[in-house]
Amino acid sequence: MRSLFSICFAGILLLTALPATAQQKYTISGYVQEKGSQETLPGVVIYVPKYKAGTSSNSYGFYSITLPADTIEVMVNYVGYVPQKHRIVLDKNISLNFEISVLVMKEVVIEADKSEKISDDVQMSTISVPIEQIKDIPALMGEKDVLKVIQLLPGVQKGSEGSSGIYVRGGGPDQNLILLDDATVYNASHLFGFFSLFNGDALKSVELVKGGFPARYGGRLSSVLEMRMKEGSKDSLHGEAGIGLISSRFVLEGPIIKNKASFLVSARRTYIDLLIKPFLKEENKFGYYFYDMNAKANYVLNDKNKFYISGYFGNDKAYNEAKEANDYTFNASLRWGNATATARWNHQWGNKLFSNTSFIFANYTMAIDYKEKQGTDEFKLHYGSGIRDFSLKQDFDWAPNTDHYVRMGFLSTYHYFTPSAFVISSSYTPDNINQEQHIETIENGVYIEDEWKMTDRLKSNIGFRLSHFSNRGKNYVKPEPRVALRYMLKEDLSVKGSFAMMNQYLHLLSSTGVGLPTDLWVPTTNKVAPQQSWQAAAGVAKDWYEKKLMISVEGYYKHSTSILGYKEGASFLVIDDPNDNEQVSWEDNVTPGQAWSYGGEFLIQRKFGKLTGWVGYTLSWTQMQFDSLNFGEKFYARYDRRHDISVVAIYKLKENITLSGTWVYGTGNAITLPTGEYEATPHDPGSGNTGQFQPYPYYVQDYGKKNDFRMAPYHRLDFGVQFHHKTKWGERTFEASVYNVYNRKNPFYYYVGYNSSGTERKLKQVSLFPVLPSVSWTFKF
Amino acid sequence: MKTIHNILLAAAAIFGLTSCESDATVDVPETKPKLVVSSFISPQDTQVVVRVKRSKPIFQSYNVNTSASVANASVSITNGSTTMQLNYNSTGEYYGVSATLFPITAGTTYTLTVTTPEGETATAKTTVPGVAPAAMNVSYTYVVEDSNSFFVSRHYTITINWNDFSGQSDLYRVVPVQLVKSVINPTDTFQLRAGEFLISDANNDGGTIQDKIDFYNHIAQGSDTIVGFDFYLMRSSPEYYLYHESLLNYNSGDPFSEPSLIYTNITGGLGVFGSYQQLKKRVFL
Repeated sequence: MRSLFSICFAGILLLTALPATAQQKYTISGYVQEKGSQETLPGVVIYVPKYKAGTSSNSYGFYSITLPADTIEVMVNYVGYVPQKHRIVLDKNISLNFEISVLVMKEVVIEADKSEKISDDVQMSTISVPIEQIKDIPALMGEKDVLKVIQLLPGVQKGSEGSSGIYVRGGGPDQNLILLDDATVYNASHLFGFFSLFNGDALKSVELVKGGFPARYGGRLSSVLEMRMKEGSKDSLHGEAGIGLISSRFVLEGPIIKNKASFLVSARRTYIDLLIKPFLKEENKFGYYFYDMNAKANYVLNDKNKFYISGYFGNDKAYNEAKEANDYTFNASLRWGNATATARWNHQWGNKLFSNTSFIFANYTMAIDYKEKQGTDEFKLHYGSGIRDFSLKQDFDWAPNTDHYVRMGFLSTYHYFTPSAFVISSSYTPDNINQEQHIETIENGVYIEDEWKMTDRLKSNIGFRLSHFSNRGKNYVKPEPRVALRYMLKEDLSVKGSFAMMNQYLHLLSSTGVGLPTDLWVPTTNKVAPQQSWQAAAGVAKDWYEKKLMISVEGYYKHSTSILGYKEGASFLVIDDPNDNEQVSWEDNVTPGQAWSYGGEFLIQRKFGKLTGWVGYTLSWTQMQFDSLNFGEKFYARYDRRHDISVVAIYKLKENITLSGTWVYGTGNAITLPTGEYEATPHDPGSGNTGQFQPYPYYVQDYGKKNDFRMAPYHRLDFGVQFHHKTKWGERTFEASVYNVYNRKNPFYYYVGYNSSGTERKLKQVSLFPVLPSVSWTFKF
Repeated sequence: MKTIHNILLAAAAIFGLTSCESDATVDVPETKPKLVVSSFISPQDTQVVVRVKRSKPIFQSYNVNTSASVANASVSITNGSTTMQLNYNSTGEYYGVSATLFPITAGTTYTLTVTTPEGETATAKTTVPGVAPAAMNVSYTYVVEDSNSFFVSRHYTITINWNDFSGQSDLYRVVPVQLVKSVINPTDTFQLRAGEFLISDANNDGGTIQDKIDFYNHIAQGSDTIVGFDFYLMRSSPEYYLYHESLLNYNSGDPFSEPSLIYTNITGGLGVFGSYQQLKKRVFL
């Protein structure tokens, strides 16, 4: 593997060998930061018109650009920030940090046209959503939710009503790599999937990659959702607090050492359990809550070295406690939660090479506890499962000249799985149980990619990733080539194409498919192969400067193999039958299969101005085939969605009033519906087949073909209004929003019921959320 | 599983997320009653038996008794060269023809056609597998797990194996049947099914196929006793195997899991037309 890496590295060196030129070249490098807070900014465009050369700041705000000795004009542009123009005499290597200011509505935007250009970017199938937009979009119960906003993007679908699970280009929720400061978040849902872990408070950027994956990403088939936490203001203390219908939250950020070190803490907690407590009887208390907390601190040692430490911690708990007169008590609870921690070191090696070293910890646990006590008799049950990761990640960004930008590095992760831990202790019986299963695995990925400006019009990102997984002596090594090309047709119009191969070594076993905490992550084994996919995409991107619009049209085709299906009647909850001596392995309950997804996506997006938002449309098909399901025949996936439309609009009516609305429409889920019933007779050799006896029949239903019935289309309108009021201390915001404005009864599921007279059977539906108004109040200083 | 549903619904209720039940707004598929045909043919059987019933649509009103046999159908079977009409036996409620008139042979493809005066037609094909394994080995042990003056509980562990045929994929179904001696009439021995299992030779082609059956017998002291077992080993056609597998796995689903489908190879109807080669072994305890 090392030799392969060396070959690739040598290849890139050859590619990037500087042509011998008479003219001396110099490098400008440094960081781009927000003025005041000194928050580093990723994706800021640094452009030199004279040489038609540009670059953009990396995830840590670092940039480097090398040009011939000259007096040049450098433009610095970023969406939502005041553009800057600098005149620089380039007669030596220069270290220069740019500080840009947040754009205030009233300011006239000059030459903002060269900011983020979708047509220029070689990377396709990637969408970033400004955090401010996430905070403006109306949400269920007023709880702002990053994943719910991601669901509004073309190519991304939600599962069922209210669920925060995301389905990207036909892939399941298990095929998304959700990263928070490089740490994997294994279960991103609160409240059984109705809310996600991320409300945007602590986040700086959110980016979704749904295809054409650069080589630096690996480990999942369908998407990468990369979220980066804010660092915290380095100049003064700022805070925000909010009260909503179901939770309260706060954010506090500020300097630890002015201009050197800063921190950020954000937290929220639901309080319905506290509110209902006084109304519950002493004998029976139940409740539910979740909380989460983000924290980050950073320290700038000098221009060359920066340190960051960040973490997330959150938990959900549902509980029920009873106390009866006869000295009988019982406690039951279900808890689940994630914890992540990332420690990073940014280092600048000279002015062309940047490195980031990360130590990452990620943990997900789920536990069910049950305790019963009467007098001295006691029964205790504990069931738990989880996954814990320790990773080392090393990334290098190297900008040798204006034609090449090379990224390379590796990620090595030690996964510690606890598929089930089961403890029973009881005074009733001596048969106490204490079983705990563990699996230890290693996952590695090494990558190199070069963003190469081949001609003035043609740019490519050619990369290669080699992934490796080891479990109990079984090793898998898989090459993953990645190619992305962009050809400029005009200054604001380009065509793009990409190809990517992906491997996924971790599988999610879900008993229900709705993203419950009991869903279980398990590794690839010698029996269960890694999931694999290849995806090709092609598209057109256009920037429409006068209208501040970005338009993209893309088509994609994705084929996945060795994806996991669950055999009919399979259950992965060991707790269903803990005393079963015959331990049925999960490996025997899954069946490998294939999936085909293809379709087209249209997006028109406006990120700044009085009116912002987007319109997205997706036309797609997703089919699956499993040898052990549906008798081996192909079928449409439940979340196969022919048409999907989302409209998101945020309008700054006045300086102090913001209006927002979203409308979504999606073809109904493909489900299996019973249409008839009959007696199915088995062959019963014991009772004779000669006709004397009628074999005992099974009474079954006729479902026709699998997933052959479409649920009613899903559509919904949400509306919100925010009133901002500036005081000398800060800003107050009052928000009122309405979910499902026209009270559409979207079916959550169907069942067979009876008509009112009870004589005829009818198809009935259960809908979850009617029109739901909510209010919230926020104070910011 | 149930507990999780309850927790989910409880959580929704706690948050006042009022759910609402109403009539579905989509049109349900227009469905008519379908012919339900079941027939399993074998060279070891004394006759070809075909049962014909009807399915009842769920959302449309049709007066159908799903248990009643369709007596006025025309049922024929052909091996490609000979076609035989089957006669209705009103006592056994099936269509049949004797094996002496129409023998079933290994490797032959048979086509079954059922038509009715109402204009329904159902057809299906099956190819009879090669010979059944020549022998199977059966061994058993049992322990008395509990015994008192009223009851006795026995746990039988039965191991069964046979040699697979190499070079092809084979499917098997095993049905053990208890032979029970009646207390009331000691000369009478009746038969009771004791489960079944399905196994294929995937990953074990040409090897020894083995499986273990755990069987629990809990009876009152002095009542009927198990005197032995009949083991039926069916080397099955794919239709026979898939149909029985789907019956074993059948679940009608719930809002959070997918229902499983019952296999059918009947064009124009439901049910199955399958074939098998059978080996029977009787073991006395």
